Amino acid sequence: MNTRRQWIVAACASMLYLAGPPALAQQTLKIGVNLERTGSGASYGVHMLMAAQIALEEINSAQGVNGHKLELVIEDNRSSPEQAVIATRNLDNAGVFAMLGPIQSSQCRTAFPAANRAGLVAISTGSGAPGLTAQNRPWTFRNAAIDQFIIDELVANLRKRYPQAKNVVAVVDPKDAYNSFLVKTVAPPALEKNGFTLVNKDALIEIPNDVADFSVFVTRIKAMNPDIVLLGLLFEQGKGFLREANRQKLVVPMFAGLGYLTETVAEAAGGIDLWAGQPFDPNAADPKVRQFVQTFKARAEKEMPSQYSTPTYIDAGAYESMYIVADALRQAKATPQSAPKEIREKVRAHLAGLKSYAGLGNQLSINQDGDAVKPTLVYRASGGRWAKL
Amino acid sequence: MLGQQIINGLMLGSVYALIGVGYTLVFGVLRMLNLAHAYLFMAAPFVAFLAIKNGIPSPVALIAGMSVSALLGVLLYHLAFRPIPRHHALGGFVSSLSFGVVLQVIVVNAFGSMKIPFGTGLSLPDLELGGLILSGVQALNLVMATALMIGLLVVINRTRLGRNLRALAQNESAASLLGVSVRKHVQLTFLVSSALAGLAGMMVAERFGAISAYMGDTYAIKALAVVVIGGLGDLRGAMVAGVLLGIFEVLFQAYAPPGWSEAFVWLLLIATFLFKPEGIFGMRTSRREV
Amino acid sequence: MNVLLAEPVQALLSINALLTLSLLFPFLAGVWSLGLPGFMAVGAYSSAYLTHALGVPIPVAIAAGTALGAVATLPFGLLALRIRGIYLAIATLAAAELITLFFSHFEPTGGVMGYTGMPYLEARWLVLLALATLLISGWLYHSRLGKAMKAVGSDPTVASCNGINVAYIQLMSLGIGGAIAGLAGACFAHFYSFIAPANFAFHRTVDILMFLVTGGLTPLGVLIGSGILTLLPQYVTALERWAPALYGVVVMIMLAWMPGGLIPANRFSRWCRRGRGMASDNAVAASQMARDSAPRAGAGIASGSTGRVR
Repeated sequence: MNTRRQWIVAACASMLYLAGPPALAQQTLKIGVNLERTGSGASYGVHMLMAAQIALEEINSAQGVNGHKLELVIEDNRSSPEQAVIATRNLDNAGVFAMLGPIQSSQCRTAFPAANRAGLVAISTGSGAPGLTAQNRPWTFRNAAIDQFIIDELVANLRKRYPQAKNVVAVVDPKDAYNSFLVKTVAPPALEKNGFTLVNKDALIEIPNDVADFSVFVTRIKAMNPDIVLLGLLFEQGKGFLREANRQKLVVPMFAGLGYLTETVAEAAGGIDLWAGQPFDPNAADPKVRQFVQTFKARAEKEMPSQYSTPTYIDAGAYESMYIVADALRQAKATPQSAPKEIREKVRAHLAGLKSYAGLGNQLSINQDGDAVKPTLVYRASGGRWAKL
Repeated sequence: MLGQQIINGLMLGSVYALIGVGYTLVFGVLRMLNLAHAYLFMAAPFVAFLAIKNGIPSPVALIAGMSVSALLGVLLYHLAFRPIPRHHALGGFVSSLSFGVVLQVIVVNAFGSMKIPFGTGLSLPDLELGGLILSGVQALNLVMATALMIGLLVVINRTRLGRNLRALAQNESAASLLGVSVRKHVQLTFLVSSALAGLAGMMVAERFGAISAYMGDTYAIKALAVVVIGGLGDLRGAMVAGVLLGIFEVLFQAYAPPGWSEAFVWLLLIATFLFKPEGIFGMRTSRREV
Repeated sequence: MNVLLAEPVQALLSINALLTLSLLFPFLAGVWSLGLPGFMAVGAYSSAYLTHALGVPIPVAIAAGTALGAVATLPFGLLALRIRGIYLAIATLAAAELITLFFSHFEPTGGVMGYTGMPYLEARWLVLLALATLLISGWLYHSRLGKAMKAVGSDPTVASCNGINVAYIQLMSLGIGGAIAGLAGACFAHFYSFIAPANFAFHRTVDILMFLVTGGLTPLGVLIGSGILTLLPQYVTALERWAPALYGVVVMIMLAWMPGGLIPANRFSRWCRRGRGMASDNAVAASQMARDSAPRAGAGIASGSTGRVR
């Protein structure tokens, strides 16, 4: 009885095995996408893919690349570092000329070394953790919001605006890797360079992400008498903190990392001067930006009605990167029959030497680490709304 | 200040208590841990969210959320627990978790993986009790939760249904020989337990103003601690342990060095197993041979 | 075949097989220890730290990681001697969380932000290590020690009446499990070049439990269970965003249909017991007789059908 069931299972397993992954047409130029389609990063992945597809359709409808159409080969890394390596390998085997993604740093950490070893160009548009590209040269690149640039710019602006300020107090979400990086690694050198002192550098105030009552933390910070507060919290928690700070009259300038540039955060900021920065402004007047944002919004509202519809820097980065890769392929005179190895090298060289490329409302250049340097747009919340400086 | 913290702890504790009661109800009758509990907890607010978005008034939406959770709980029983042989306790563990994961995938595919703002639009005035502020909505939640749990205790201890359930928990074969329909009663247990989970989920959604497909994950493991410390299968214990844990967690977060809040919960759990395995009330309501 | 040849898939298969093996031995002996992520973390961090910060050669570091994984089971052993069954599962789960919490706050290995910089280990070494461990486990399973473990898992009282030192066997099985988990952790650290406490969360325990329960409590079962469930997602790309749901559905179906797993324990033990009169064999036989005559709840995973939940 049991043996029969075992045979059935074996039969099913072998059918699956024989089925294998589907074969791909050879008439297109393939670009790989290693993204978080499922799992905790699914929202980012799905939106990023949409941005890449918008770029793809635009390029294909305008004669493609040297007359050939582009095609996206999609691999789901399931928001898992282990699967990200497998996805990289699958894309490598599929003969793609370049790979977009992964988005989240935890997947990039394992996928980047794998891509570097395989000699496959990898471009992440979401990861901002320091050192990722520097440790994986020459094949990995980032066209994302690099925290170091943003924080450097923010702090320089703070110094200009508040010349007398000196003491900075930082709060952090202890379990969040992004904010831990921000507060422990990225911010201190920027603060020091601009003449600030991080008074609680060795005694960061930890606010776990399921706290709903911030009163104790705000009271403690008030007692430390800071000139400026660094918010190393995810924006949801940041909102709660801001409201409590307003209630207790802790009205000092504050600044934070990514994710704060939404309306609700500006409202929560109330009387506090809140500063944040980002490399992509969806409200820019630039016609390319307006068109991209419009197309993206329309699609997002139709296909994913319960999720965000305004593109973020991740989506903008993907759109830009598709065009950059298309340019590289054009210059390399790539055809569907080209050998991946030499085309990949040409794409890599093109990216490494990219200077003053006209992106979405900005100009970007790739630095020697492989990171795209774009001007940071600095915003200040006042009167419940964000205003660009 | 300390008083305010205790009020917050009470709020958190009532959520833990609700979840713990649901967990322990199922463990009492089935001797299996229902890991899908935290996912049912997560599903209810999404149902309520959909309902509110479509113009359904909030109280009805909340009831809809609880009902869907309850029904999912019954489905869970039939799919994940009934087919498993009685003694294969780990089978129930794994199977219920698989069910929960499927539920989570459905929610992620429909709503995305990020947090979604949630609000019932109910605005009740804040209560002031001698300097301590209690949000109106939170107070209502607290009252509802307490009423439900007391009601549950009454049913378990004073009615025939409750007696049947207790008999089932003590000795399933004997109970069924005496005419207690095992399937109906276990189904009912799942119904009630899952409805409570749903209610807890909506309370949390209201408190934080946001829902996400992953909101149940942290509560899943903490609820285990509640149930263990209160004594597995012991309803009163789960309630008391839940409230106490909520208060302790808030106090630790406020006054203790970072990281200790979580460590304290785990250490307490281990200590309970080592020194007082029957839990707080120490009442062996049934054999502990597993 | 092309999927199997992909090195990252081989690496994942090897690591999952090792982790599932690390659960096998304690569970055989009735020690329901879910401390697996903690031991894995110990092995991973120690091997990584030794190679990166102290320049120790990889093989030595991996061996050290394995040994430390075993050592880390000692406090768990204290729990195992006092608590049984699902209660022990919960307690060890909590203890493993404590270990992960410790690493989250331990700065020399990066804390929450993770640790990197260790030398790369190619997938074929992982496959070699996994195969070697599988073979050793197979041998162990059929050895006297293995039989003693099964005896203790079936019924500790009868086993001790037959002269087996129950406590020793339980600690031993836990230690073996810890060592294998430590090995898996070290392999993980060197293949992926980056570890963080988030890699050692409860989520991993859940996956491994699914492998164990699907495959059955035998080394061959472990191989097949972890193999099939690891490979399954690699093939169902057509489902796109619904792929993780398929996983859950498959596990639920497997549990309902073949609760003993694909290669359940009883078949093998019945074959092996033929013609061998060892003390541990008697214990297993005696306990099986005892069980058949007086059904009792939950003496172990899939110990036979004593009725289903109606």
